[in-house]
Formats: sequence, C-alpha cells, structure tokens
Amino acid sequence: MAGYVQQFFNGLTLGSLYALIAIGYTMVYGILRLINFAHGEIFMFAGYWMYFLVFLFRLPWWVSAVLAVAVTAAMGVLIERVAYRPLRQAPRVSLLSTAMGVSFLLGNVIIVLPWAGGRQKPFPEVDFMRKIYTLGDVRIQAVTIWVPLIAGACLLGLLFLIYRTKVGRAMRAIATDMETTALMGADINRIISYTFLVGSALAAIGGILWGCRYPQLYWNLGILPGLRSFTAAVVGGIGNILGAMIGGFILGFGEILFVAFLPRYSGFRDALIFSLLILFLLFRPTGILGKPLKEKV
Amino acid sequence: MFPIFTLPRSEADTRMSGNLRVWCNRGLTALVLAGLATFIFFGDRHKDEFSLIWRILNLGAIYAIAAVGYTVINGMTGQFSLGPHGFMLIGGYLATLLILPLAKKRFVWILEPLIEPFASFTLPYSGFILALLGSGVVAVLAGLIVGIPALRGLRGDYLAIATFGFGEILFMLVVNLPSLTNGAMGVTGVPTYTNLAWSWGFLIALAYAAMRLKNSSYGRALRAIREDELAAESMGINVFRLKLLAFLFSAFCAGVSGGLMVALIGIAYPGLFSFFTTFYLLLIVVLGGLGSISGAIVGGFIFAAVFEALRFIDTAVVPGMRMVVFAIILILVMLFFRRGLFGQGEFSWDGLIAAVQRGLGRLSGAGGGHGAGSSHLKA
Repeated sequence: MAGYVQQFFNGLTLGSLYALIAIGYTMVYGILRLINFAHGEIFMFAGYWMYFLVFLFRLPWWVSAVLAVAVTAAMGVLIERVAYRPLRQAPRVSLLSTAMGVSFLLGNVIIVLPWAGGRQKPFPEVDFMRKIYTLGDVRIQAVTIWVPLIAGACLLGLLFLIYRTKVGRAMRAIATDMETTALMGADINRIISYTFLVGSALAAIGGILWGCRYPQLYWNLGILPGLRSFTAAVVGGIGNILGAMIGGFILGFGEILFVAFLPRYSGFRDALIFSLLILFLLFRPTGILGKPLKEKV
Repeated sequence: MFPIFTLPRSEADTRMSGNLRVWCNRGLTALVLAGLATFIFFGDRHKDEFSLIWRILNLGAIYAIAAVGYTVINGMTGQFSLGPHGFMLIGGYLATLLILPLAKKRFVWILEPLIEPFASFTLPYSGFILALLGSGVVAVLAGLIVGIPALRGLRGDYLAIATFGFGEILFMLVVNLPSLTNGAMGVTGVPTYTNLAWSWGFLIALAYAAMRLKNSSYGRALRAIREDELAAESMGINVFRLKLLAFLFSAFCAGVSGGLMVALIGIAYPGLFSFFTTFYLLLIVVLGGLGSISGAIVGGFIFAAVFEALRFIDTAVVPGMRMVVFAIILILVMLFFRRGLFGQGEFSWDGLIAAVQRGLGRLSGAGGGHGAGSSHLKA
C-alpha cells in the first residue's frame, strides 16, 4: 500500500512536469503549425539559468527562480522574433530546419560555455523541497507534493489566461484562423510573442521543478523530456491545452507504473513511449481531445 | 496539318541550339566522369600518400550519398524526415554482419554468440557490392515500417517526430540486442573495403537515379506535393504512395551510405550514427539548396572538408564549438540565403557554354566585324 501511495505521488509529479512542457508545444503548434524543436532546450536552459544565478551570482534560490523564469521566457520570445518570424511565410521545411538549428545551437552553447560545459552539473538545492514526510510507513518527499501544487496553480492560471482574458481570446482566434484574426484588427505578431512568452515561462517553471526533482543538469537534458512531452501533447490532441495537460498526466503515470512494475524493461520505456506516439498517429491522430484539423484550401 | 509541323524557322533554330546545348552538356559531363574515373583509379592507388585528402573525399561522397536521398524527401517532396541516421545505422550494422571475417565474428561476440545465419558465413571483398545493396534494402524495409504509418496521416510534420522516434528506438534496440549487434561495445575490425571507387561509384549511380527521378513525372508529382498537397491530390496524384516512394529512396541512400561509412572507418557502434548525423545532413541539403541534387553533392564535400578543417576548434579551443558554428550556419542560411547554393535547380554547363560562345563570338567579331551578342544567338 505504501508503495502505491508513493508511486502515485511520483506519477503525479512526473505528469505535472510533462504537462507544463507539453503546453508549450501544443500552444505553438496550435498557432503556427510548427513543432518547436527548441522547446526542450528552453526547458533545459531554465535549469542552467538557475545554476548560473545561484552558484555564479550567489543569489538566493527564490530570486534566482523568478529571474530564471523571466530570462528563459525572454529567450523564447527572442527566438521567435529572430529565427521564426522571418520565415512565417516560408515553406514548412525551412521553418522546421531553423527550429532544428536553434535546438542544436542552444544545446551546444551549454557545452561551449565555460561555466557549464559538457559535464554534469548539480542543480542548486532548495531546502524545503528536500524534506521527507513520514505518515505511518509512507514516506513522501516534499518535492512530490510541491511540484504538482505549483504546476496545478500554473495550469489553472493558464486556463484563466486562455479562456477569460483578451489575449487568450486572441490566441484562440489565431489558432482558428490567423488571417481573419488579423483582419479583425488583432496584432498577430504581438499575440504570437505572448504565446512564446507563456509557453517558455511554463517550460522554465517545469525546468526548475524538474531540477528540484532530479537534481542533475546536463547539456542534452531537454531532449528526452521534450520528446515525451511532445508525445503527451499528441496523445492529448495537439493544439488543445487541456489535452496537453491530460496527455502529460497519462504519460507521467504510465511511465512511473511501467518502471515500477516492469523494472527489468525500464530501458525500453522511451521505445514504448514512441510506440505509443506512432500508435496514436496511426489510429487517432487527433489525440484524445483534439478535433480533426480542417485543411484550408 | 498540326501546327507542330509548321514551326516558324526562327523557332526551329532555337530548338537546334537547345539540342546542341544539351549535347554539349552531356559531352562535358562524360568528359568529367572520365576524368573522375582516372582520378579515382590513381587516387585509390596513392591513398597512403594523401591519406587525409583521400579520407575527406571518401567521407564527402558518403555524406553526399545520404544527402542526395535526404534532399529527395526533405527538399523535393517537402516532407521533414529526421530518420536518416537510423537508416544509416541499420545499413552500417548489416554491412558489418555481412563482411566481418568469420574469425572476427567468433572473437568479437563474447557475451552472447552471434545468431545464425550471420555466424556461419561472410562475404569476401568481391561480395562487398552485395553487402552495400543489402544495407540499402534493409533500410528500405525499415523505411516501410516507419513510413507507412507516418506518411498516412494528413499532417506532414508528424513524419519528423515519427522518424525521430524511430531513430531513438533503433538506438535502444542496437544496445539491447547483443546477439545481433554486440550491444554497446560495438564491433571492431570491420574490413575497410571502402575506397573512392566504391563511394564515388555509388554516389554517381544514386545521384543519376535521383536526377532521373527528379526529371520524371514522379519528380514533378513530388514537387507538386511539396507546393500544395491538397492541390496535388485533387490533380489525381496518389500523395501517400509518392511520399512513400521518396521516403524509401532516401532510406536506400542512407542505408548504402551507412554501409560505406562502416567499411571506411572499420568499426560499428550504437552511437556511430546519432542524431548529429541527421543534423549534418540537414545542414548539407540546406546549404546546397533544398531539393537540389547537385547541391546535396557539393554540400556533402564542402561539409566533409569543413568538418575536418574545423577539427582543430574542437580539440584546441572548446569541444563542441564546431557544432555551435554549424548550428549558426544553418540558421543564417535559412534566414538570409534560403536558396542555398543551387536553389531547387541543378548544376549545368550552360553558363560555361554561354561564356565560351561569347568568347568565340568576340574573337570572330574582332575578325569579321560581327556583333558579339548576335553571334551568341546564332550559335
């Protein structure tokens, strides 16, 4: 029983982390029809900003966390402005190639930076996250409670932003039909910048929480969580924010269950996740919640 | 009568000169190919004296082979695949299994014996072509497994993720199937059969095939798919089948390229072709011009040369710097120089021929008093 409770919290934690990252993918895809390959690196960079701010600038962890989220979100906006916006009318392959280039650039910049490098770095410890609560024979790390709480708050905030504010309405409008939205007088470029800002900020929060949960940093940290989260976005129905959350939790719980019950095969979990992705693409390409995308002629 | 038989005289003239230009092009190409054959013959004989250049020329051809395939699916068809490194890995390992000597096979697989039938036979040097073709065919089979589900869906960019996932799954399989691949330890002592004759021979053959594809009705259909899938479909093009065709062609090229690579460097291990390889290929085809076969070839050689030339940055300055440089080049090319070297066009001798004609015209113009421009048109 104790094992189940612990695994439940592990799944909840992992699921909320995937959900936070998946939202960035799904928002950008919903609006630009672009798989933002650099999103995983954005997530990874947040952890490194935290590392730089705490260990190089000697800032307290909470100041660093806020700054790290802000800087990473700014990075996301900058990437869109510099690398994606000029190519918005270009063929899809050009845009994807650029996204690929940005992804490789960010990953390898970490290797080149003298303060980071190719070796593994420790994530700064946040004390209140490291506590362990004991309830009978159930031992629960504080981090597995805080992560879902913070993530849940962010997700609620996001839902409010998307469905109850003017910017959110504009985002939904652009996702439905960019040209018509532009004709209605919305500033497309500004709204797309907001999208990248919000998606990157959520990924940054995810990255910092990920660091609290798994306190090692390495240059290709973003790749696998990024791809699992992308799978989550597809499973939930790409372009659908609620779907991305649901997909994230499905993937998180699934992964924890798989590793817990079949530890021998845990090396195959990514193979399994990709098989899930391909199965979904085959039989239900619109995911759980997604509506079929209409091709515009 | 049909108007086609009553062409006005001037138009018939231009057709003649067009034919002449085509034949000039073919003649010059044949001349260069003959020169290349001589060069390859002597290059392979003297490879020890120019080992670095020899190596770069081989690597360039190997990258170019994979890039020719990659530009067919990525550039010509407009479907973003991230899978070539997976196909190269498959091709490389199959070539390893086929050409590794029997003594080595017994010696390398210590933990788990190699499974049959590979444990009991090996191909001699004369069978290297079979090994390479086999690499391509196995890659095509894998391409069917990935391509059919990934290309069926309407949305093209899923191919990117599905092929990426395929590469990752393949890496895990290679690590976790020691009775076939010797696991993470890899295989050493693969006979180094690759030389310029093999790598350039396959490059010329596959590039020729790609050119034929590009100029056929299939090629035009592929370009139609790139421009507008829905419109192509409504014109009666079987979009799925043609995308699959392009994808399988690229898989074949990648498989052959992987086999050649393993036989060049003499080892096979799971990380030999990683996602980085696909990134290099992307850089090559973007640099050469998405959709241009000449561009992929030229890009392959440029990349191989620059890759070796920048090796000092990684060893002397900071490891990883080379990748940063490549990534920045890719982004800059995409942002400011999206045509690449060749755009979607191909290399031809037209420019040279026109220049020669102008030169001749100027000479005759000096002698006989004709204008240079008019003699260019007359020829």
